[in-house]
Amino acid sequence: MNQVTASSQNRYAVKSVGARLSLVEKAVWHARALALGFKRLVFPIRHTHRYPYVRAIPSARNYRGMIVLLDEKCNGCSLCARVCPAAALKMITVEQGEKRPVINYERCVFCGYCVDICPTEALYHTNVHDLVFMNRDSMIFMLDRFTKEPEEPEHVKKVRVVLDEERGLRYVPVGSDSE
Amino acid sequence: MGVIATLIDLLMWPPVFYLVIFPGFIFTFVLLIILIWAERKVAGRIQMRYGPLEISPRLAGALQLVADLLRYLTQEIIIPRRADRFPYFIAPIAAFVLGMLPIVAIPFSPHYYPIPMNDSILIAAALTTIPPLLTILAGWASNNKFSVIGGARESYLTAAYEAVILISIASIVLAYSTLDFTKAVMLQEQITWGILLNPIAALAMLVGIMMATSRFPFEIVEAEPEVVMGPYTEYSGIMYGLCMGISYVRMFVYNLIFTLLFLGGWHPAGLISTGSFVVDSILVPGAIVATKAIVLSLVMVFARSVYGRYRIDQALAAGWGFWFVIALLSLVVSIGVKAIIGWRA
Amino acid sequence: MTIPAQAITTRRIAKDVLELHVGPQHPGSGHMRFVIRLDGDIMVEVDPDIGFVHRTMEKLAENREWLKAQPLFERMAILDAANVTIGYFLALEKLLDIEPPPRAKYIRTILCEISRIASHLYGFGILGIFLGHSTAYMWFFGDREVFIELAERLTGQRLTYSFFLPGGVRRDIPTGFKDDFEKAARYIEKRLKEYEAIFMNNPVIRVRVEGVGVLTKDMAVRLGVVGPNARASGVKHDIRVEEPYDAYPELDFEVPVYKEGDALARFLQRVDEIRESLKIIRQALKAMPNGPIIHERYLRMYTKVMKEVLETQGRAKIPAAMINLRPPAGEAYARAEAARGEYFYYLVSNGGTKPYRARVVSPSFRNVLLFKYLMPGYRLADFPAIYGSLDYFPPEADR
Repeated sequence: MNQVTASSQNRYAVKSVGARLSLVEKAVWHARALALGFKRLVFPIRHTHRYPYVRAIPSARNYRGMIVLLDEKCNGCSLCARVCPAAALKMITVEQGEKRPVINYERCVFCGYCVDICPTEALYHTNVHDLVFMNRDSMIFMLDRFTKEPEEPEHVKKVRVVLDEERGLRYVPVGSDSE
Repeated sequence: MGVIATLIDLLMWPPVFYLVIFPGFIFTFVLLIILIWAERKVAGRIQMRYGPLEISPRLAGALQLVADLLRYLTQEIIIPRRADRFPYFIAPIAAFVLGMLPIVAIPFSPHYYPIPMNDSILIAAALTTIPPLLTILAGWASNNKFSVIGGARESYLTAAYEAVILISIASIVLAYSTLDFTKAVMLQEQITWGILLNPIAALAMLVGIMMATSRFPFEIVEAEPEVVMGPYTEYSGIMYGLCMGISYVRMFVYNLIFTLLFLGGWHPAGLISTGSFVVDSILVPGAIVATKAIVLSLVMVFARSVYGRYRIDQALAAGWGFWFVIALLSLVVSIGVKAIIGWRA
Repeated sequence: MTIPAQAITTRRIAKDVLELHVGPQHPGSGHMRFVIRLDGDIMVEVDPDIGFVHRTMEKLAENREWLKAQPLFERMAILDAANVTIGYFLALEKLLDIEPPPRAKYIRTILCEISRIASHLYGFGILGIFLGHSTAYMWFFGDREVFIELAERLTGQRLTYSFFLPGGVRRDIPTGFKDDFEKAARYIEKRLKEYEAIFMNNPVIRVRVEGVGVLTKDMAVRLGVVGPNARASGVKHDIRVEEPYDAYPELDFEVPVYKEGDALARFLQRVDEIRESLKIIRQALKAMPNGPIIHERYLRMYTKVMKEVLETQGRAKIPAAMINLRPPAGEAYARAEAARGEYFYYLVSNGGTKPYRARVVSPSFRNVLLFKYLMPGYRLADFPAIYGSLDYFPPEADR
């Protein structure tokens, strides 16, 4: 660790908040606040999208969504169950004494340690982060559901988030060119 | 048969029709619903979001308030055990209904008014001072420290804004030399609108109305992070719905008074004549007055998205120290205007 | 049967004082309770009552392996997740006697600064809603969304980054990150000018925060206040300058310090800090060195599959030995500068796979005293104004 001593004092820039506003300045700022409010009323920027009729698909290529197991690659080493901070993965014994993980999504915090520690790349993240469960028992994914990609509803409009200089965030439909 | 015919006759009798249906109870109630919806949509648009959109998406959420009203009607009314029951119940109901009472003195056209009066401005201004007393009563009857603090704030603010509003009304009455709404509007039709005759009084009254009806930046009585809901903290169910509506009803009534005094009332109505009495003398002037009052209400409601709220002592200092002085100044301006336009009693 | 006089304690109750419980179920109190004693409208005494969100994090860390404490400690102040956990990893790296490679240091600094900006915007939003300005609240939170999206592109999650490893980071900078950051930076600079019109110089807001909650310099030093609250009172102390870590020694930035110490100074100081953070990230992106993102010691344990993933996807796999990480017995401390102040971590290892003791001192815990000493003498309506300007976060104080 470096110790910066003598020259550290001039890294601090001392400033002051300034004087109180005079009456004329107050009137000017009142007018400017109202004008800005009116401008944003006529030309709005909207950062919200109409979830769940419109779903924003995360555009990060390494988004940490729900996890899927590739059964043929898994070798039962149990590293994923040992590293899980929330104890969400448990190993069960399938035929021939081999072990496979099953997951309890009530506990999963989507930290991605299991995906990152698997030596055979048998686990991967999908893009889905929001599923609805009707009771707590259905949140435990045994092998049949853990090896399948989660289903998404078909009839929703999918968009991606694009950062924009004027508006902050913009939504473009999935599959269009401007990504 | 005779009973129904009698009832319909009673309803069609002008005073009752006026007070219950057209600019009275039902019209104000429907307008309240539209106004609160407009406030939420305007605020949503400025604030980078949509506002209410789920209930009736094709109508841009316009039925949201109807859904809210149904929810309030079916919600349990919880009464605190140690609250003072009779005042606790009466205060919001009376404040809501008596908030509409000044309509009894406000005409919508020279031929459409409930009761013939010569001093309608005086009576309307006097009747607008009743609801704050009931707010203070609600604060006391709830037996809750936050409600008492809210009621105390309302009592301080009442003294400040009543002075500003009444002196502004007095100054424009001085310019018109009449206490009758009808004659005031006729004078504005002849010369020019009141807002151009005495803009200082108009500005003072505008700020006074915003102080009176808890519009931002003066939403002090019901300031949420400080006194939860002020005098209305302990109310639930339909009582809470009424409490929400009180300030909007008072704002609409104040805006009607402002329209008739400063914005020319039913001014362009004299230029339209279709020959039918109902259209000429009731519908067209009524629509014009209502439209002007609604536009003014929307402007006041727009201020919510731009301002925060004042502290109570800053609002009182602004009320007594600045706007009271401006209102007194407007008296002087009115004397000057009077000298110019002469005495037309 | 008379009670002996020594067994009776009497307390004087002032006659004109109203005792108000601004409890956990109050829109203006957050996750804690205050007992406010009022004389008319002036607050005479304010008693903070913390502990509603105590989750025994220090004890829980003793039962989890060293690597598993990251998602645990992150949730102390989840808005600021990178800055909260960087202290833990600095102390752990001292125990292991390793230092991350230069590229990893720069990536850590970038994420810490993004996290700082997002946390300051959250604090402003809370100040806005406490002052009744719902537009400022929505705008600040909406603009925070831009930086959350940026962090999502880098780490894979919006708020719970879990991004660090002992000796490096987990992901590399994705392609297009620099352009995305430039767009976000220009957007927020434009928006800061809009905020001047509608919030900072709005006469209603300005009169509510000017001269309110004045914290003098010697009181700040005496009470041990840290972070932007102290810097807005004239105390020149920032861990990024005093004990720099990661890439801070090589970057050129200023730390704003204000003299007045009122709520307006605390607010403006944080706005200036956002501008400095943007400067830091720009420099870091430009001067980013090439190289590995994980320390040599763990890179040696990589198999062929893991190396391929690191090269094609930029994802640093965790070697299996990290579950049984056994730092040599000893103790280490580290300090980090989060958005709310200084974090102090003290780790004791007895050579096992789990920490023997993990002690955290969070900045909000140090700032609780301000409620007791700063509030009396001001009006009741100043309570939310001062609370919002302190940027106090109860889960962080309670851990």
